Amino acid sequence: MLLLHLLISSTLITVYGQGRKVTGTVADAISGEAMPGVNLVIKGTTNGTTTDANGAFSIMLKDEDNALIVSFIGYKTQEVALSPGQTTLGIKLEADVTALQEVVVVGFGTQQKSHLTGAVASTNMDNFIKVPTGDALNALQGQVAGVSVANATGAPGAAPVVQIRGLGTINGSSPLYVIDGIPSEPSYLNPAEIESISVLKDASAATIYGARGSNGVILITTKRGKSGKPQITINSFVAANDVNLNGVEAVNKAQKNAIMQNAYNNAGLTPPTWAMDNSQFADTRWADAYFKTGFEQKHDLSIAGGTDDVTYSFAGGYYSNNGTVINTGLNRYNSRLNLDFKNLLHDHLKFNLGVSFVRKDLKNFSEALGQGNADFSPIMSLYTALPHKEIYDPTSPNGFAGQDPLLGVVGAGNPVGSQTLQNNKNQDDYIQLNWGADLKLLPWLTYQFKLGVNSENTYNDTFLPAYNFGPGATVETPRTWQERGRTNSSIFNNLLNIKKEFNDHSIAVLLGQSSERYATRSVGGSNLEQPSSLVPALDAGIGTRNAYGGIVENRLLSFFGRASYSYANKYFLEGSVRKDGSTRFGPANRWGTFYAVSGGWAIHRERFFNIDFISELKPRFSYGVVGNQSIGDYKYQSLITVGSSDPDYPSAVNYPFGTSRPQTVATGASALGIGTPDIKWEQTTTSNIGLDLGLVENKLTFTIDYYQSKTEGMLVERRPPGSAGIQKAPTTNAGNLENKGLEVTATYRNEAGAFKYSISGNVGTSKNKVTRLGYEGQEFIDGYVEYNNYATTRTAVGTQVGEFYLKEVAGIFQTQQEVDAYKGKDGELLQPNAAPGDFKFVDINNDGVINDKDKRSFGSGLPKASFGLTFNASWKNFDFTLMFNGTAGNKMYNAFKMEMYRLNASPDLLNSWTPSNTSSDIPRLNYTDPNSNYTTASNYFLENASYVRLRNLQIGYTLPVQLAESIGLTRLRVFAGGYNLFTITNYTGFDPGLSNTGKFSRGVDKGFYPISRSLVAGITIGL
Amino acid sequence: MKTKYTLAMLAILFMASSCSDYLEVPNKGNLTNDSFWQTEQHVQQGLTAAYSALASWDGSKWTFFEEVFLGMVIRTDEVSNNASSGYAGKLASFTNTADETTASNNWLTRYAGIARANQVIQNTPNVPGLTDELKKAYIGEAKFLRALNYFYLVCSFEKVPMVTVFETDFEKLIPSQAATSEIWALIESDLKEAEATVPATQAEAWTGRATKWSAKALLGKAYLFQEKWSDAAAKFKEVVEQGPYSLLPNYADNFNGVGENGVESVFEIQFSGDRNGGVDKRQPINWEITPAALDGWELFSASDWILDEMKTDLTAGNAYSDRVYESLFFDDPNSTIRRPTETDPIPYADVKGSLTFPQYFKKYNAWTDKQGDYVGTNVSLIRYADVLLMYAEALNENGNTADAIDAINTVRARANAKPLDNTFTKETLRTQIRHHERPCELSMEYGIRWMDLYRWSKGSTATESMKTTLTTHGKVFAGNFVEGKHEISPIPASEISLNKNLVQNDKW
Repeated sequence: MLLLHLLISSTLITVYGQGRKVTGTVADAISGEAMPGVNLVIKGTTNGTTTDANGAFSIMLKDEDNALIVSFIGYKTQEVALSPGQTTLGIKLEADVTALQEVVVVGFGTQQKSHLTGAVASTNMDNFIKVPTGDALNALQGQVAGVSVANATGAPGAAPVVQIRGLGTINGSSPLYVIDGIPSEPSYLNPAEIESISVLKDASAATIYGARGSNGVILITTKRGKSGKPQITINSFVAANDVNLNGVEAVNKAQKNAIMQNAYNNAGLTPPTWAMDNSQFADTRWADAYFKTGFEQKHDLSIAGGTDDVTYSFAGGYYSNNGTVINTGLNRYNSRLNLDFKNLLHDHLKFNLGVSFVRKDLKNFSEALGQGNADFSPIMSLYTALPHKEIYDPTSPNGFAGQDPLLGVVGAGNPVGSQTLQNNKNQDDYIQLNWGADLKLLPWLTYQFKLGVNSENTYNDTFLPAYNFGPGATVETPRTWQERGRTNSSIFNNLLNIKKEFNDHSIAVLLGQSSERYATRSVGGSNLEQPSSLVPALDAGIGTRNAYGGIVENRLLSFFGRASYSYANKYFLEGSVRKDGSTRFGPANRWGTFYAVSGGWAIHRERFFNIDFISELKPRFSYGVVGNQSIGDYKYQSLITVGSSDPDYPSAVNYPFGTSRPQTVATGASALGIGTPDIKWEQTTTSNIGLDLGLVENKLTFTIDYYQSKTEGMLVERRPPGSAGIQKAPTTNAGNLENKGLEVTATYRNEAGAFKYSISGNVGTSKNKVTRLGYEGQEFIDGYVEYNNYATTRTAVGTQVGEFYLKEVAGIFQTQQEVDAYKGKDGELLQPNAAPGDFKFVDINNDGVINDKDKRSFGSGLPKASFGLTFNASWKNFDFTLMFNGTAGNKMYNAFKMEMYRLNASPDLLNSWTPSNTSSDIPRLNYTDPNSNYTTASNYFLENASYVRLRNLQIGYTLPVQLAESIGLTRLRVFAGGYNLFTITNYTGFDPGLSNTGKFSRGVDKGFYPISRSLVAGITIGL
Repeated sequence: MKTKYTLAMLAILFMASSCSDYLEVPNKGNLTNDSFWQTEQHVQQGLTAAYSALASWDGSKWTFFEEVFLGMVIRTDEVSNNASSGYAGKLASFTNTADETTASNNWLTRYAGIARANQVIQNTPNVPGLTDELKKAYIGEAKFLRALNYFYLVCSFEKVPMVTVFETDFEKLIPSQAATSEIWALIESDLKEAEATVPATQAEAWTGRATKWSAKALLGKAYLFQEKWSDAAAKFKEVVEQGPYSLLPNYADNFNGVGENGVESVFEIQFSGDRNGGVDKRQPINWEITPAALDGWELFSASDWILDEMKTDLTAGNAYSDRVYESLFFDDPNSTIRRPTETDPIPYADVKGSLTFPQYFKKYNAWTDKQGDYVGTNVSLIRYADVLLMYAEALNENGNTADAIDAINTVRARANAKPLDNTFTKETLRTQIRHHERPCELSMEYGIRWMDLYRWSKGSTATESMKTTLTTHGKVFAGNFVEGKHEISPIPASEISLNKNLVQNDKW
C-alpha cells in the first residue's frame, strides 16, 4: 500500500514537462553580502542548485513548481513562494542563532545545545584532535571545565586519573564512559575515531545512567559516514620525547663521598672506606643509561562516504610510543568500521552497526620484580644506586655488573640491568560490536534497539631470567608467569522515543529498558624454575607448576524514562528517572531509583528583552539524585578464603605441617573479611545552577555552572580495627561527603580581515568536605611513605578527603641554647635528641611532648582549581594553536625527596646546615638522624604543586585548495609543534601534574615516571 | 501493520524485563560462611588458617621477620641495632611513637590468629558428623592458639580488647580494653581446656600442631609470668617428668632444621620451602642477620654484652661452650658463618676486615630446607631447654634452689658447659638465670628475652628497672628509655584512629 503510493507519486513528478528558467541572487539579510554555496531545492522534489561565488543562481522550474526551499548552514531555512511566470528572485537569508548552536549528544539521544537544561559540556573537537597523543583521555586534559585529567605516571599506555567535578565520593570516582551508546573501556580508543565527546556533569544529565552516573558520564560518539564520494584522509604525526625530570639530579661520586663522610663523621661513625677516595670506583650516571629519547608516531587512515541508502566510515590507526625508559613501550592497532543502512522498509527502518578491533602491545613499566618490599617507583633506584658502581660488565653472562664486593651490600642492585632484563608484557585485544535499529512506528513514535557486545582479552607475560646483582636484587632461577583474562560484556537496550510538536509546544519522551551483564574469567600459570633463561614457556618449567584463575560476574537491569518539554524555544523543562537493579547488592537492597528535574529559560528570546549586546541569556537549574555502585562483586556475602585463592593474601591461610622436607603446605581456610549484607546504593544529590551567556552576537560566550552535591552512604572499603582480626576491609555505606564548585567556560571569537582568532578558557573549582565517616570519631589514615612507615594524610569528619596531616617544622635550631630552651609546659626538653642543625618540631597540642599527636592539616593534593586556556588563530593558510593547562591550590608531599635525603642521595645535601652554613633550610647531615628529620612526615616535604603547563603548541600550514587539487589532493596540511614544552611551578619534584592514583594518597609523590616533553611534526592529507 | 510492529516491540521489552532471576548471579569464586563449616576437612582448614597467623597476619615473610620478630628482639640488651638500617630504627633507639609499624603488625598478627581461632571455636560444634571428643579436641587446639596470641598481646600492650567471638556485624567491631587480669584468666582457662582435650600426639602428617604437652608448657609459662611460682613449678614438673621431651644432643640442631619438630620441640612456627600453589611459607632470616660482608642485610648484630656474657659460658676445659659457637659469629678462630646462599662455613678471620660490626648472631644461619633465596626452617617458640630453665626459675623462686640448679645443669650439659656448683643462693641464682642462663641458651630466639626483661622489671621479684638493666648491659640508646613507658608498646595509632573506645597506654 505504502509502496504503491510512493510509486505513483514519483511517477507523477516525472511525467509532466514544460519548464521555465528562474535566476536570482542570495544575500545576507543584514549585511547584504552575496552568499555563495547556498542550497536551493524545488519544494517537493530533490532537484535543486547552489549559488555561485557571487551568490547568483539559475534553475529550471516546471509549471507546477510553486516554491523554492533555500537553506544555508547557520541561517534560517526559507521557503520562497514563486508566483506563476516569475523569473527573477532576490532572496535575503536571516542568520539563525539557534541553528548556529551545535547539537549535543546526551544520554540515549541528542539535543540542541540551546535546549539544554543540565550541565552538559561538549568538547571542542578542533582543539581535541590537535593534541598529539594516542590516548583519548589525555587529549581531554584542560579542554572541559570541571573535567580534570591527571597522569598517574608518564609510562606509555598508563591510564590517567579522570575526575569530573573533583571528588564527589571516596568510593570509585571515575566517570562512566559510554562509547556509541555502550558502556566501554576508553583506554583502547583511538582519538582519531572520535566525532564528539559530551560530558554529563550534573544529576539531570546523568540520571539517565542512574546507578553509575554520580561521577559524571563521558559520552563518546565515533565518526559515521555521510553520503557522497569517498573521503580519504590520512593523518600522521611523529614526535621525539624526552623525559622531563624538572632538574632533579642524582649525586655523583664525589658528592656522594662528601655527603657520606660528613654524615658519618657528624654521627661519630667511621665513614665506609669506599666513600673515602674519589679516585676509586666508577662515576656512573644511572639516569643516563635508564632514560632515552623516545620516539612516538601515530598514523591514521579514514575512508568515509556512501549513498543515500548506505553510508560507511572506516578508520584504521597505528600508534606507537617506545617510551623514555629503556624496555618500555606501547604499540596499538585500531580498526573501526561503522555502517548505516537507511531507508529500509519504505523509510521506516534504519539499521546501523559498528565493529572495532584494537590490539595493544605494551611493555609494562613495573616495579623491578625479585626485589624486597620496594615502595617507591623504580625511578627511585636510579637516584639511590651508588654512582660508584659500574652498569656494565662484559664478563658477566648478561652483560651487566653484579654486586661490587668492595662496596658491600650498598653495592647491590643494578637498576639498568634489572629494567633491561625483566620482561613484563601485555598483549590486550578489545573487540566492540554494536548493532542498532531505529524503527519508525508512527510519525511521532520510534522504537530503537541497541545491542552491544564488548570483549576484552588480556594476556600478561612476565618472565625473569636469572640474574645476580647482589642481595635483594637476585633472581636465582628463571621464572615465568602467564595470565589470560577475558571480560565479556553485553548490553541490550530497548528505547521508545516520542516526539511531538504542536504550535509552540514541543514534547519529547524517552522510555527505555536496559540489561547489562559482565563476566570476567581469568586463567594463569606460573613456574618459579625454568630450565634456562632462554625458555620461558610454562611447559618447559621444571619447578612446581602453579595454575590459577577466577570467575566474576555481575549484572544490571534498568528501566528509565525522560520527558522534555519546551515552549516557544524559550522555556525548557525536563525530568528523568531511572530504576536500577544490581547484583552487587543483597536481595533486600538490590533496587535503587534515581531521578532529576531541570529547567531553563531563554530570556534573550523574550519580546521584552532588548539589550542589544547580549545575544544569549539563559539561566538553567537542575536538581537530582544519582547513584554509584563501583564496588567489587559479592561484597554483601561473607566469603571464606580457601588456600591461595585471594590474590592479595596468597599465603595468609596455608600452613606447613608434617615431617617431609620440605614440609607439605596444608590448605587453610578462613573468613578474612566479613560480608556486609545491608550495603545499598550510594546516592549523590546534586543541585546545579547554570547560565549560558552570549555577548556581541555570540562573539563572546560564557557557560557558568555552580554546583553543590551531597553524597550519602558512600560505599567505602573500610578497614576494621585490627582487633577484629580480619584482613580484608569490608565495604559499608560508611560516610557522607559534600562537594561544591564553580565552572566557567568563556570563548571569544573574532576576526580582522584574514586574521581569525579565538580564545577559550575554562576553569573548574571543587572543594569537598567529609560530613560522616565510619564509627563516630573514626579517621582514615593513609598516604604512607617510606615502606609504609609514615602516614601523611588523614580523612575524618570535617576534613577534605585525603587531607595532608603532618608534623610542623618551625625552622632549624641554630644553637644548642635554642635546643635547650625548647621546653614544654612542664619545663621538660621537647627535643632531647636534637642538636643545632636539626628541625624544630612544633608541639601542636602543647602537651609537653612531641609525638604523633602533634600533627595538623596542611591542605590537600586535590587542586582547588584546574584550568585550561586555548588560543587558536589563523591567518590566510596558516593556523596556530596554543594550549595551557594547570592547577592551583594543590599540595604535593615530596616523598621522593624525603627518601633521597634519608638515604643521603641528594646533591641538595651538599648545602645542608653546618655551623658555617646556618642560612640553609636543609637540616644537618647525620647518618643516624637522631632527630628523625628525614623519617618524620612533616610539612617540610609538603610543597605547593600549582602549575601552568604549555600543553600544546602547534603551527600549521594548509596548502591552498587550487594548489592541493593540482596535485590530486583535496587537502594538505602540515604542522609542527611541541607537547608539554614547559611547566611553570615551584614544585621541586619531577612533575606537579602527576597524581597518585590512591584517593587517600593523592599528591603523595613517590617519584613516579615523569611525563615527556615532545617535539612533534605531522601531516594531514585529504584524497 | 503498525500494530504488529508495536506488539513485537512490546513483546521484546517484556521479554527482556520479565526475567525475575536475571539478577541472581551465583558466586563461582568463593565459598561463603553458609556453605563452609560442613565437614571435618573444613575444621582442619579453619585450624590451619589459625596456625598460619602465627607467622604474620598477611602471610608475608617480611611481616614475620622485619616487623613481628624484629619488633620483639631489637629492644633487648642482646641486640645491637644497625644505625644505618631503616628497619625498626626508632624502636631500637626508644624514640618510637604510636605509628611505628612493628607494634601495629604485632597487634594485627595476634588478632588475626585470635579471629581465626574464634571461628573454629564457634563453628566446630555445629559441624555434622564429628564425635564430641573430636570436636572438643579441635576446639581445645584453637583455644591453645588463642591463648598463645593473647599471651604475646598482653605482654606487649598490657591493656588489650578481649575478643572471644568472631563478630560479623561491622558496627560491633569496636571493643574496649579488658583488664590485664581478665586476659590472663582467659589464657589460663583456654590452656586448661586445651591440656584436657588436645591429644598428646598428632598424626605424623600433622606434625607441628599443638599437643596437650605444648598446652601444659605454655600454661606453665603463663603461671611464671604471673609469678604463680608453685603452679608454674608443678606444671613444668608435669611436662618434665611425664612429657615426651628431651634435649637434642646437638645444640645447633635447634636452628638448622635438623631438629625441627623433634624431641626438644614444644611448639614452633612452621616454615617450609614447598612452593606448591604459589604459596610462600619461607622465612628470610638467612639474609636478614648475616653480615653485609657476606651479602647479608645485617638488620642488627649481637651486642657486646651478650658476647661478654657468652664468653663466660665455658666447658670443663675452659673453652667456649657449644652454645657460644652456635649462637654467635665473633672474633675467634673457631667461629664460622655461612653466606645466605652457600653452605660452606666461612671463618671469622676471612671476613674480619670487612665486617660492619664486631659480632653477629648466627642462629638460623644454616639450613636443611632452602627453596630459592629463602629457607623453610621452623622458628621455635618454646623448646624443652626453655621449659627446663623456666622450671628452674619457678623452683628457685619457690625456694628449691638445689633442684633448680639440677635443671639448669641439664641444659648446660647438652652444650658442654660445665655444671654450676652449689654455691648459689636464691638471689644469686635468680641473677644467674636472668642474665646468664636464659640469654646464653635462648639468645635472639622469638621474643623470649624481651618478654623476660618485661616480666622481671614488673613483678614482685624485680630487682631493677628495665632501664637499669639495659643501661648496665650497655644498650646504646638506653638513655632514651622512659620508665613506665618503653617496657610495653603503644596501642597502635592506626588502631586508635579506628576505634575510639581504646585508651592509649600511659605516657604514649
